[in-house]
This record gives sequence, C-alpha cells and structure tokens, in this order.
Amino acid sequence: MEKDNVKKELREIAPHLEKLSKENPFSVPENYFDAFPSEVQEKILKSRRKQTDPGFYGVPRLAFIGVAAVMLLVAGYFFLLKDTSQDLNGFADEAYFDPQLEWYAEYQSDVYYDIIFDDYEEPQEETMTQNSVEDQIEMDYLIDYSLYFMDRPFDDSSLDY
Amino acid sequence: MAHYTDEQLMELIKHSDNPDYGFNLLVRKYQEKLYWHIRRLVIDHEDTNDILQDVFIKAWQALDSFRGEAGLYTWLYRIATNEALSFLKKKKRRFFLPWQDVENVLAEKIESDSGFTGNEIQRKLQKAIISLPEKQRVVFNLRYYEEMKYEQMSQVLDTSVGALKASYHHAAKKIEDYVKDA
Repeated sequence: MEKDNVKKELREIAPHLEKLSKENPFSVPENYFDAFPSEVQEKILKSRRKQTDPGFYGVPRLAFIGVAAVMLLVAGYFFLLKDTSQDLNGFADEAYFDPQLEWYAEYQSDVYYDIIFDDYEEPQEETMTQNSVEDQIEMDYLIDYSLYFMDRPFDDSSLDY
Repeated sequence: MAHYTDEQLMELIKHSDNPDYGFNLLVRKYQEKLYWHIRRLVIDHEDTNDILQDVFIKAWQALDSFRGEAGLYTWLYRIATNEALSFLKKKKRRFFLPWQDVENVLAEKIESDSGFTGNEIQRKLQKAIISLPEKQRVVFNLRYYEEMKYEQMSQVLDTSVGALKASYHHAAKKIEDYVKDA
C-alpha cells in the first residue's frame, strides 16, 4: 500500500516528522459538506441562466443595458435643466428682490466704465455768452498793453516806490 | 453513493436524462478531498469555500471537453491546485508592502483561526509547511497528507516523478529541521 511507502520514505528523510501524529488540525462549519453540493448546483444554474437568458422579451441583454443607459442620460439631462431653472426662479423670488441688487443687475456691465471715467468731464461745446465776450476783450487789452511796454526802454523813475 | 466509479459518474453526466444528478454525485464524491487539499494551501475556510465552488463550476463547464485520459480524480486535483495557487498569486499582488507577504498573513490566520483545532505542535507544523515555496508545499501536502503516488502527482502537477521526489525530499527535510528546533 502507498500508505506504507509514504511512512517508510518519511522515516528515512525526517524521522522526527514521521513520529508526529498526522491529524487534521482544521475544522469546518457544521453540515458544511451536506449543504455544499446544492450551493454548487445553484451557482451552476445561475451561470447557465446567464448564458441562455436573452434578456427581457427577447431583447439581448447588452442592447437592453444600452437603451437603459441612454434613457438615464436623457433623464439626467432634463433633471439638470430643471434644477437650473429652479435656481433662477428662486433668485426672482421676493426674498431676493432688492432694488439695489436690481440696479447692479442692470448696470453690471458699466461698472468698469464708471470706475475708469469717473473723474473725466466730457468737453462741453463753447458757447459765446456775454461773459465770455467781456473776458475776451479784457484779455486782448492786456496783451496789447504788455506788447507796448516791451517795445519801450525801461524807466524806473516813473515807478512810485 | 460511494459505489459509483468515475466512469459511471461520467456516463451519468454525459449520457443520462438528468446530468445534474450525476454531477451532484460527483461533487459529493470529491468535495471533501478537494476541500482539504485547498484548505491546506489557503488556510482560510471562506477562501477555500469560494475556490472549491469555482473548481466545480469550471469542471462542469469543461466536462464536455474532458476526454478522460488523465482520470477524473487527477483532473479535478489539477483544477483545484491551479485555482488555489492562482488565488495565492492574486493575494501576493495585493500586498505591495515588502514586509507584508502572504506567508505572514497565512501564519497570522493559523494563530487567530477559531477553526484551528490542533495542538501547539500541529500549529508549528502548519507554520513550517506555510514557509515552504508554493510548489514544494503542494508536493508535500499531496504526499504527506493525501498519500498520493508520485505517478499520479506527476499527472496533477505536470512534473516528472524524479523532480517530485526531490521536491518532497527537500520539503520534508526543511520541516524536520523546523519541528526539531521548535
């Protein structure tokens, strides 16, 4: 018998080991081996169903998954759209209504313009009013007067200290 | 149940009206032997259960192509060994830290496993077996625990009888040293 051969062989190689009792040190849950065959059968049945099952109403499983994925995408798209409109509606609610905010919303695009050109005064068209005519006469007189003195030699005796 | 030979079982599975019944008998005949073979390699019961289920499912799927040259017993052992070793390889890949290898994890399982009913010497023996290289472990287990003939083992592992004898010799020597020191 092979049992004797194994024993004899081991005695020659490892005499200490040969003397040890060859008991099984592991245990299994109760009734494990009674239940195991039906577990395997169940798994085999499942795998067989997977192979033969064409899906719902004869539609191949992969096609069904594809259609379901497209439907989910479409549903997701509309769901997102709905969400956005809800946010905007919420903004228009009374709770958010504020004249100042409304003003910002309307003039938002002009903010930078206002900052840059705040100190700038647009040139106004000159109009010849009564005042400006008098100013002009006075200015002309002063120029003529200064030119007159520039042409004459300087005489400080006429100056009254 | 035990009186069904492998040939009768194959006949029931392949040519009867109820192949499921034949396969159920096959599972009942080999489940315990294969369970213990796998359990000694992966230690954990849950892992063993998963692997054993896979073994029988793969056997079922490949039964049509099984030609019976190697014998049902040898063929099932070959599937079980491959599944258990690839499970351990996958586990190894999961541990990317160098200090945490499969050997340590299995040793910890032996320490903490409530399903381990052996004494301290048995615990040391199991730890020694775990420390062996994978192929030596398989050879040692098949020869020491299952008392498998080298010729049969050669078919299971697709290795020459000479190489298997050498492998068993090395494994037994290492374990002898380990047990003696302990």
